[in-house]
Amino acid sequence: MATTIPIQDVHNEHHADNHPDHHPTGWMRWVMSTNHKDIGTLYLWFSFGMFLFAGALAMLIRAELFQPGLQFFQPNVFNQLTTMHGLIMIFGAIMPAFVGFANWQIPLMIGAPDMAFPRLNNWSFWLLPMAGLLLIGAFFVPGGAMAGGWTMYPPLFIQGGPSYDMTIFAIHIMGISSIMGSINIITTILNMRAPGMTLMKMPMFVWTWLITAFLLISAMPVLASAVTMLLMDRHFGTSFFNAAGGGDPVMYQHIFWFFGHPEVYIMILPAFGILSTIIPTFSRKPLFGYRSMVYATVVLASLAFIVWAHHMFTVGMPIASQLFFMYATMLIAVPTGVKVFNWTATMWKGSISFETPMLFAIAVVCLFTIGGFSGLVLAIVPVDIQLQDTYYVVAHFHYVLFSGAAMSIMGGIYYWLPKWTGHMYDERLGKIHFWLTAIAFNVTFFPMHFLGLAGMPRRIPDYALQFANFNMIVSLGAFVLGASQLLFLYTVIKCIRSGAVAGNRPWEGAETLEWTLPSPPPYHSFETAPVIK
Amino acid sequence: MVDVVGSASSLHYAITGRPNCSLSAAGTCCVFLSIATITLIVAFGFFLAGAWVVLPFAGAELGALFWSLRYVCLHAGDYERLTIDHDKVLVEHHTTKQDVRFELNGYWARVILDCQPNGYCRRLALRSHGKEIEFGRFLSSEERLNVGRLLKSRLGGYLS
Repeated sequence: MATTIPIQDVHNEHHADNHPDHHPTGWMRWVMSTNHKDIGTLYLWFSFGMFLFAGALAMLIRAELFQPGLQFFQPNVFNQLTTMHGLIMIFGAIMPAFVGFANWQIPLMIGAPDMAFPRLNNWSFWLLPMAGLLLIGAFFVPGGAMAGGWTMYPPLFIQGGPSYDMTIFAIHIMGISSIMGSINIITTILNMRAPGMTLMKMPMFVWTWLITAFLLISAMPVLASAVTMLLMDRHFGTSFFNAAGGGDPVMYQHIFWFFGHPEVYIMILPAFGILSTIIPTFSRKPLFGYRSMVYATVVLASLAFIVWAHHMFTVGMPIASQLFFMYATMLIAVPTGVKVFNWTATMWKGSISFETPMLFAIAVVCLFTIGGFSGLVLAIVPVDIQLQDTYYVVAHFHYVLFSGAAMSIMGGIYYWLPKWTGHMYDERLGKIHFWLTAIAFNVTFFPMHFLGLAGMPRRIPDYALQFANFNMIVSLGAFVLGASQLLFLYTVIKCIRSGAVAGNRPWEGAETLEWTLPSPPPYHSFETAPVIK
Repeated sequence: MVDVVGSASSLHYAITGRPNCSLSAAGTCCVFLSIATITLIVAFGFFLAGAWVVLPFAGAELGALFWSLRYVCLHAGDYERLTIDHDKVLVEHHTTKQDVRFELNGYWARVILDCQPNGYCRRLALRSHGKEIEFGRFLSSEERLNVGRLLKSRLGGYLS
């Protein structure tokens, strides 16, 4: 029923300062912000802080492994370092960094004024520092931080101290944050696209995030329930995973890896989206095989749910199951191959220039492919049984997650930094950072293949003398890799504070919507949706 | 999205602004059902294996997703409509929760068009009796400018 109100009775609800360029200032701007750009910036800085912290843990790990024998840490402390390095890198650094990109870029790329649920977006972010504090605070409680590996396998996990409960709580908080973020991203992408932007006109970065959000929503309840069952086994007398009470510790591994493998794709699909944005820009050609890229991403996400048991071949399973998971895992090479082929074909006969983002993108294509190949090696059941829990596995997932995810993030930051800040970054420093990172990364992680093939187990603070030389090389590479990220920090801060003015479209090959806006974009952009022809 | 009824000179003129929604109600259902199907298959699978705790988490998550999509669907029907009928101006703000109409006298109402030097029109409002009614939340800057000019020609006065 409509109500008609005479004009005399209307309160003036519209304040004079309610205009597009108005935005809050001071520190409360960041606490209360519902603006997608502010929240994107918060995510990116949080993830960078966590990246440096977890990276510092890695430096401690490599200092301990510099030579055989115990140098600095007792084995229990060493295990805490490896566990927290993994957990914080995955949940605190890589995932939030991609959510930061999503917040900044998705509305700009689809011509939306903001995310669909801005307040939810604020809450999604501010849950993360609480979880981060719990994870870091775990080092300071009796017994130290969690030491059972980032996979939290029982029965070891069930026997741990209070830090294990803190970790469970932190994972729940981060899970809630991820789910809220995913709902927001799905709703934004599907409902707020500019008129004319059909699904098949969306930039690949948006597509990869849409599929990632689907994966997150499907996988997160599984992780939440796994850690809840661990909590119940620890404190409430249940025996989900306690063999003595009739439970099954192997079931935990099935549940965890049912989440864990999609999690790998959650960390890599947005990286593919970044690559699919950078490579066409600097090749000055449209992305080759756009449709096949979309379908390959969908197929990758679907396969993510049927390959989990390749992480646990050694627990013992029927030969039919081993064969199924082996072949299903090998199938992943097909859509991944489509992607690598398409990126290469995009560069083929392109007018390529080698600015820092492109250098990172090319390096990712090459290095991620190496990680993919070592993944194929590990998919072969008899080989995997030999290499399970060796440094070969460590080399494999760092080639996937550092060179695949982290270096894509770095490339993406260099690519969009001129848009975000309005300044060009220092190209010379960017290239120095790239070469230091690329070389040190390979010095660090390539010899790990040899260590693993020679039988060096992971998660140990000491090792046989035969592994000493390679470990020394690995540690030296790691120190350079760690130090070079400080140069990255300096380059980013320098770009924020100064630098040549970036025009609306500093990259001549950039075609997506965000480049139609000024650099930096106005606080409120695309208040009126652009029309896509 | 904007719908216009009548021409600028006609006695009856109406302009309606709606939010940009690229997802239809049927599309929303498909999205929810596809996610719910996958999530529930997974949850029931684990339930059958003894890990029943997955079910309540999946249910809670699907509840949150349902609420979010329902909110979006409900607000897809929001609109603002400005009608000029002879000397009467009617501004309607329709949302899911309420349907409010403001009636103004065309001889007394004045138009406020807040434009920046670069031509960006931030705000369009009607003023009468010392109060302001904003209109054009769903209009582009150019549409606000055009509607503002039209209103200027039709109503009592113009402020910039």
